Amino acid sequence: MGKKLMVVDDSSTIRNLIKNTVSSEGWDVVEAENGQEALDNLTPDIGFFVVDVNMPIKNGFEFVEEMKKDSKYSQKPVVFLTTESSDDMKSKGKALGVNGWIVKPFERETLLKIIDMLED
Amino acid sequence: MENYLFQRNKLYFLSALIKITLLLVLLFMPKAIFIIVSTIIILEIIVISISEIKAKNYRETKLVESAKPIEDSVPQDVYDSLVIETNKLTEKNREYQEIIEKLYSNYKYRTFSLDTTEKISQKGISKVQDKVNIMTNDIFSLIDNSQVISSDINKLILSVTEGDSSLYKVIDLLSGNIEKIDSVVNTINDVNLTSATDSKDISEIFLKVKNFTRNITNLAEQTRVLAINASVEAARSGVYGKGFAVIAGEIRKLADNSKVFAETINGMINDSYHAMNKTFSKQKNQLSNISSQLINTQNDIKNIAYSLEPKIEVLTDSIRKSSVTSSNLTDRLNNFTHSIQFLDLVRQIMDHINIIQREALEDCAKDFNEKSFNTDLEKIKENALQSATKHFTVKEEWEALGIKINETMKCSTNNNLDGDVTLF
Repeated sequence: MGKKLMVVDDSSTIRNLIKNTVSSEGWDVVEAENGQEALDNLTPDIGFFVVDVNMPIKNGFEFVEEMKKDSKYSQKPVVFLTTESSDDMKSKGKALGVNGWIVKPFERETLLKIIDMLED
Repeated sequence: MENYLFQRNKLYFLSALIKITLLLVLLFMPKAIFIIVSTIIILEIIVISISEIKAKNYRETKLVESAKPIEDSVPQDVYDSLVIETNKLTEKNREYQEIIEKLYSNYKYRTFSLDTTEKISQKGISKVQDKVNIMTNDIFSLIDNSQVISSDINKLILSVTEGDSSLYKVIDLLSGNIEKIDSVVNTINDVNLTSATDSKDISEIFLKVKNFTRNITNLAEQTRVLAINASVEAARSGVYGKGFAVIAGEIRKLADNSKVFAETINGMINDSYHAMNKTFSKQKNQLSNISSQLINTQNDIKNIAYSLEPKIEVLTDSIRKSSVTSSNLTDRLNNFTHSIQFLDLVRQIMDHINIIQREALEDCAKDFNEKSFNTDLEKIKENALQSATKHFTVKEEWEALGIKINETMKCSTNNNLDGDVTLF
């Protein structure tokens, strides 16, 4: 069974772009349009999370906060991939225990390197 | 403002609403009852309307009557000026009413216009997203396939240019064979030369043997002559020479036989000499043919080897070009990934524009309802800015307004990562 990566982003363009980018590295991609959909579709075999911050219904911070309450997911690597670039936002992410912050537009190679560096 | 207008006419609206509801309910009743009840309702509406008009006229008459004593007690000039002021105020009120109605109409126009632009932009964005997703899938698939093909071609070219079965090795092998052919040709030439010498030596031996047999023939001839002379002498000797005559006859026979043997040997030697010459000549021709064929083969191999070398160079160059092409493809894929994201940023900005406009109109409606009109333009501008920026999520939005956001938390340099990346 392949490695699983979850992409949480309200933009289908970004989800599709990430899916295409990481698929070539052997990742199976699970997509979610917002934090709530991501929580509904969580499975322990997901090994990496790429999450947007601003999303309707449940944003990225809320999703990560709720997910990390569950011990099954508390140590899973999470990277925020967002247009937000302010220190305030990054600090908030850091406080939640996320591993990295990539500001859109991201570099394809960079995303792959970071996933490679942080994966379980 | 909606409430303002609504309240003014709310009784009429309520009444009309109840009546319309009743009529709708009645629609489901039998036809005769429907006609009767609807006639009653229409009559009721007429009666109520007439009563309302009468009541209104009555109220106005009462108002005029109640004002009459006051009007009589006020001096005429004061009364006239009051009337003028009242008329002015009424006129002003009418102007304000018109302005409010125009503003309301303008607000409604903007609301409808925003509905339209929202629908158009959402439709456009949705279409663009669909097409972009298809294009993304196609491009990634195309590049994946190109890379697989490129890798296969590289493997093929590498197998041809490197390793034990490479073309270079084949050329080396061919060069070795060229040298071997050289050696074989030289050996053949040596064999040919040796054969020629041997042929000459054998010819000389044959000549010697021929001379020897000629001597034997001469000797046999001389012996025969001697035997004839001996026979003659034996005949002269009579009875005593009889035995000698027999010996002389035998010697003559021996000489004749010797001559025949010598001639036979000579013939055989001649035949052998010719056969040998023929064989040597044939062998010489065959060896010459083999030698020239080998030289031709050698030249062919040389030509193949020489023609292979530039082809290998072309193949090696193809690997280099393939590698460059592969690198170009990766660069273009990176550019594409970047561009697609900018497209998505534009989508986000358009979403924000719609939200900001929607909120601005909602604020406007709220101000009308609460009748809280702010005339401080600076304050209005500040409020509009605050209202807009709370939706900003894209750096370019802040940049468009010349606002710098605090973004010092970057630590990508230590990991050699391109782009705006922070690792915690």
